[in-house]
Amino acid sequence: MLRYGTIRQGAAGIALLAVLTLALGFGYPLVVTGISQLFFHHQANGSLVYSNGKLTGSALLGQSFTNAKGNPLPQYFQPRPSVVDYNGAGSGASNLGPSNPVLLNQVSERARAYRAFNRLPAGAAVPVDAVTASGSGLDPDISVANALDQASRVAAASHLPTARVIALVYQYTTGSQWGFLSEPVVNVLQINMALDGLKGGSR
Amino acid sequence: MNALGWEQLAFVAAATAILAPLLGKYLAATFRDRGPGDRPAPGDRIFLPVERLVYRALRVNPDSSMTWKVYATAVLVLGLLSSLLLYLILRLQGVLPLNPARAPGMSPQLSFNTAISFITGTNWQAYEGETQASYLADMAGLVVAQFTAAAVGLAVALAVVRGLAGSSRRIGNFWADVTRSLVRVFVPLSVLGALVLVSQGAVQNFSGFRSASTLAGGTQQIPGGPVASMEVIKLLGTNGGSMYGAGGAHPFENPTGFTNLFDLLLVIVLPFAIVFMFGRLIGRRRQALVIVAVMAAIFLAHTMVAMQAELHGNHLLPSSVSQVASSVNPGGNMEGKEARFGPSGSALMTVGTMGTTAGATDSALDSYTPVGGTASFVAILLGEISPGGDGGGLYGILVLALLSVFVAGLMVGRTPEFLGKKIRALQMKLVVTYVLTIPVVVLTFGSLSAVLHAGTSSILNPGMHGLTEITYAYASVAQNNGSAFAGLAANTTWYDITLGITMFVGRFAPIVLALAIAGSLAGARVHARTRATLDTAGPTFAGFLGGVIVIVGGLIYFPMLILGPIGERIVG
Repeated sequence: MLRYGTIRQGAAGIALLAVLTLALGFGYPLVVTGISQLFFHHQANGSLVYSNGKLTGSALLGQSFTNAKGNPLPQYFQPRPSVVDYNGAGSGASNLGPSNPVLLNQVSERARAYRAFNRLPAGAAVPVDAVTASGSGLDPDISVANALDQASRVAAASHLPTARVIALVYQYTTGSQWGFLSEPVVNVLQINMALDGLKGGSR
Repeated sequence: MNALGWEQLAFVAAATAILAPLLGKYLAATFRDRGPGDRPAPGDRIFLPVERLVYRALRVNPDSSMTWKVYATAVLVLGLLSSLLLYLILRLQGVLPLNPARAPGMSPQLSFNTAISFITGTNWQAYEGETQASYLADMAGLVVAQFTAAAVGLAVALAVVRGLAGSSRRIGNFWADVTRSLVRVFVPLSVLGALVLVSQGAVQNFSGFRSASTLAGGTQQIPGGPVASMEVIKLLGTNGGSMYGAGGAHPFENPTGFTNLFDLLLVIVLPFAIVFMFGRLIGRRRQALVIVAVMAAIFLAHTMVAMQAELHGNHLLPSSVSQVASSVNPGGNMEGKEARFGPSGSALMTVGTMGTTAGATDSALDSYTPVGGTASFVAILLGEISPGGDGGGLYGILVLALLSVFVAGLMVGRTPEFLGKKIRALQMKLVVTYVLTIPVVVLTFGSLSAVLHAGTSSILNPGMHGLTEITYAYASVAQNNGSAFAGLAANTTWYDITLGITMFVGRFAPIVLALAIAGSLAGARVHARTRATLDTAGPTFAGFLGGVIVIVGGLIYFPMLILGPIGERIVG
């Protein structure tokens, strides 16, 4: 048997949920969206990047630089391995444990492919971010070491002097925020768009 | 740890040390009991009219104080009603508006699991964020639950403080506590925090997926959504649930190094501030400092161990993979981590939130090194008191403080007392029930899952790591943390139902027991301090309390850790 007190608490609870659903479920996100769209229009819409008026992607999201068969294009810097293949409608990590043989084989295989693709000598050291999958599957960045290892291959494939491509890597290196909040990285979409710009200019 | 890691940790510590006492002062001024002649609370001119509107809609008198039983009933009634509402929204989202991804209604068992998960502040997510939840379910369902869970936690903490330290048999009005917490703390801070996140690049729109033509000639779906407004209460409310599957690793949620540490501060500052508030409310600020010191020491221990372990890297990888950190290479164990955060920033943010009920992550815990994963696991197993959830951290550590004065009292042969009130057999029975409830549920369901096919068939990683995936899941949801060794395929009937039950018990049993303890002490006689009174506000007690926390957690869970991550480290 419900006591009178419990019924009164229930009525208050139902009223509270109605108030909160209206105020916090609709009012709050709409207010935040309104202010954001007014003052931070670019960021609130996903830091979108356009070329020739067409939506190319987001400066914050990695994308794949492969041909229709899924092979990496040598004229572009290649992003980190992604579990979701840079599909923006999903996101996530491999969740493979550190001792899982599947992970260890994957890393060895990626290191071998990375050396072959970038014409590095057998057994050459490979930056760890180049052979491990990111947390989001949409990591927009690679380490500076990873970009430098790719520079001569990119230069050869796009008929540019290697020194020019290496200079581009340093030009597009985002330093650590405030000097210590983040790792220095290279944004792959932005440096590849800059490469396209260089090639367009030399043609 | 390297220079970058030390600097980031110092930044977080300094910001917390400045902000938490200030916020605690504001909270104390807001929630202090007021007579007719007292000074008004800060912001009364804005907040009071809003609160009066809510009280009128609820038809409650905010000044009518409740006994602990009525208070606990109100908590349970609100919990059940909001679970029911959220269940209906999730079941029906397919036919409701604001659903650009065309997410169908969730299955009954997934709706059950998700509804309880968000009502309890656990935010365990057995569904895929981008495709299986509509914007409406996120906004009007999950975000409302996140606000409610946070406010209920703070309300219960306020009631417990009134019972432990007050002179009345009544411990406050639940509806007024929830309303005040929302109007004066969670909503204003959330609006500010969301705008900070958006300014850095977190998205906040209703445009659904946009199709982009990539540079290489393919297409990419760019997601949208009211992300920042959910992210901020996920963190500030120590909830942990994101719109996107990758959570805090997703660049649209956590775009920069600044947002990474800002996210961590959103999680930990308020629980520390609540302890400072406690010190002011009871008029013993040194007592609060002792508790803060214990919380901070445990926080630093698990966070720094994880930062070092992840920076050190995975020794099983081929030696030609360069894991040594330098100015051009983040190094360390980068599987499941984002390049911009690197191993130190990832471990700081992820394992830093593990001592709270948020369990928000910016990297994949399942791929952490055994030592880093253990640090995260231990933070949960010690009972989420470093610094704990909003409110939950305070009442959690106060219960452990009662256990500590009891043990100390046995050692010196005196009747234990805390804040001048004698702790007797009734209180100790409740304390021991509180301490044992969660381990019993975790170990029972964990063992069953390790032997039943329904449990083992969901494991991703073989061997000892697989056992860790199971036990971590139950410990995480029982403590309402909600982080996961996410390789475990958790959307099965067995896991949806048993994890749902575990979350419910893990949330409401401690709340009812904490209220019962507070209620049993409410109005009890306060004894004057004598030279023989055990000092609970000095360094000796801080060390003793820390010892009790580690020994209780250790004795209960050590065998489980040996078979899981510790074994993996030794054998691997």
